[in-house]
Amino acid sequence: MTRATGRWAWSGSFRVRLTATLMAVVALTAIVVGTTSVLLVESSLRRTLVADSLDDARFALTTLADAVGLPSSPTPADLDDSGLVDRILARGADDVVVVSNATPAGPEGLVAQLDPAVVALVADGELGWQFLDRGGREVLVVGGRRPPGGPDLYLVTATDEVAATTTAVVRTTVAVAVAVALVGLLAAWWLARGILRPVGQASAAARRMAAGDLDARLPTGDDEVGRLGLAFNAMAASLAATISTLTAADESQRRFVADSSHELRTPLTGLVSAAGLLPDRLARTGADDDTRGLADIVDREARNLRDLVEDLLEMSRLDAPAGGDAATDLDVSHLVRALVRQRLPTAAVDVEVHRPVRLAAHPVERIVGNLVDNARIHADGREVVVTARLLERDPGAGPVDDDGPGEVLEMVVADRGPGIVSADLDRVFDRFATGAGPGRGGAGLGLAIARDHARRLGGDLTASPRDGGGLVVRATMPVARSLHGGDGVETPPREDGDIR
Amino acid sequence: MDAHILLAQDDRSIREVTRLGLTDAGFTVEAVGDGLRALDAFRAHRPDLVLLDVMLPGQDGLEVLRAIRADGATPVVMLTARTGATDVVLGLELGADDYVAKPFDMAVLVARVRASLRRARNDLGHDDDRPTLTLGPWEIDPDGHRVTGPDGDLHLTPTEFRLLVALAGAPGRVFTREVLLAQVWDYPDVGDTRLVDVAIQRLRAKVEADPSDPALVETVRGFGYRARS
Repeated sequence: MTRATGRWAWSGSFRVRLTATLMAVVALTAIVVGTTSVLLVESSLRRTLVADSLDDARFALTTLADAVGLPSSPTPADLDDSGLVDRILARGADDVVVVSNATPAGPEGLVAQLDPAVVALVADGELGWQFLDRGGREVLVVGGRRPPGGPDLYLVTATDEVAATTTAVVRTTVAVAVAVALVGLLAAWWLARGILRPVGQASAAARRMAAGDLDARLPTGDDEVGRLGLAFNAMAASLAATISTLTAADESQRRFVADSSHELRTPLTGLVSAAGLLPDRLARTGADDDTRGLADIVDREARNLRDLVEDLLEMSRLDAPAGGDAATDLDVSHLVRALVRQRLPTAAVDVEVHRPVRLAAHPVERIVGNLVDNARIHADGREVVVTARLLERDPGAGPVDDDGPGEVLEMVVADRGPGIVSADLDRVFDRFATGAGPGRGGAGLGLAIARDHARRLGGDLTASPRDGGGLVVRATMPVARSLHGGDGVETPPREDGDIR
Repeated sequence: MDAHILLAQDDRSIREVTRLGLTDAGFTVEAVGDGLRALDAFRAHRPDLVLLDVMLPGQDGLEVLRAIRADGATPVVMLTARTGATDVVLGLELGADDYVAKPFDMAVLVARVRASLRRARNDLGHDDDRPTLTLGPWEIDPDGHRVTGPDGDLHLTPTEFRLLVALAGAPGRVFTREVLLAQVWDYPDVGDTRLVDVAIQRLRAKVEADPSDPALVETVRGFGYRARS
């Protein structure tokens, strides 16, 4: 679960990073373009407003003033009579301020608000203009003097329209920018997915290969991703070929061991049986001690040879990839007691399993039998304790059935033999590893076979030093939970293997 | 135990050694090397027990077994070397009482032969006065080795009969396969519990009205078998 979470977090963050980067680029572009165009529009509007107002002022000061016959240095009454102000207002100005000798500062001190440079320009007979804040509104003031002696006219035009237009432009720009950003987001997400999909496919294929599926392949093509696929597939094909070669070599070696062991069985059966009859027969016919000693050796070594061949055969079967033995309702208590009675009657037995459990009989027999044999060989007559009990399966340990965690049969064989130094504990399970025990009897395959069986059942075999000296070998065997096949009639035969 | 054993085994060394071993154990042994001579010897001398190799030239061991079973309840112990388990199951289904896998220990072989002979003798010559048992429609007379139903006697092999007596003797009690193996087959140690499963199957075929839906000999899932109480 942790691994999966980590994988998703990584993949997610990469996708988010990619999307965020693309989004940021799109948004930044929209902001820069939008701001620039708003500024350009605004300044263009203002330039137009200024130009129009200057034209209006020029027209009012010359043509219009001449037409109404305004006298030079007019009195307020002259001004009123001429109707000039009304005509200017009718042409679009919002306000007109006339500065003459009678009203040198104009209403509300407008002239005082103006930049002295503008006022000086006007006094020189030029047109001057300035944007002003007037009563909370921004206005454009354009001034000029009617030649030669006045009066000075200041046309005031509100910039409301410029502001309104600018606001509209800003709104439109923002709306367009948001839309572009949204489209960009979708495009970025889609793009990120497109980039990441091949990455995901590649990591999935790699995981499948790691899990043993050598047929995992990637789509190929002419682009960079396609070339990655080609390289990956070439690697996979090469791996598969190597593994298949190795597997074939392994299988042929296994088959050789199996076949030769099998062929050895028939002559060995005759040899072991014949050797077994010799000691009694020699005793009856009064042979001398040396001859009888030789017969004992022949008998013992023939059995050892037979056991070795049987172990090799068992080992080659364990190495075969074929399926295991069918589970039955196994009476563990009966089995353990019988095996101990048969192989090491002096061992103490403590079985806390009071009902049958679903396990394959043959592997359990081999595991228990080999553990007891090992204890017999190494304990050399000293105390051996055999215990069996059912444990709740540790939910964290290994795969569990669909039915959830079940039980584990635990078999422990503890002896008071010489034990094993910690450094060698792992080696006791190596094939042909023999301890330094006083007894001889095994070729060193017993514990290796037991461990292979335990692992085939989904369990394990471990060894540890015993407190006070000796060795503890512990086998765990997960118990099949489902009870299907409980009817013996339906129990399928084992696929492979003799029954002992 | 002065019993007459017929040994059919094709490998000359194994045949000779087995003959000597059984002779040393006190049996009278007639050893033959092929299936046809095995059948001839069986019909001519009526041995107390037949040790039969599955792979025999002339006539296959399973064929010989079939012929012996058609003839009566003489105990048959198979010798099998094959790694395939089919032969074992087939042999048991054909009515073999037990099997010994090669390579075998002479001591194990002798013990199995003795157990088979002991069972056969107990079946025949029981002089205890055991009460009659009933299971469903069947009346079982343990001493007389008879099973009687509404339509007459039921023919069971000694193994099937002993299995029936063990189960019907304690109705409702659940027997594990291992316990049945010890009790019915007289196995001192571990054995193949398929002996039990196949024998149960054979028994059901004879005593059940519908062997595919057993009502008298029940399977107790996760444990073993029991007779209906």
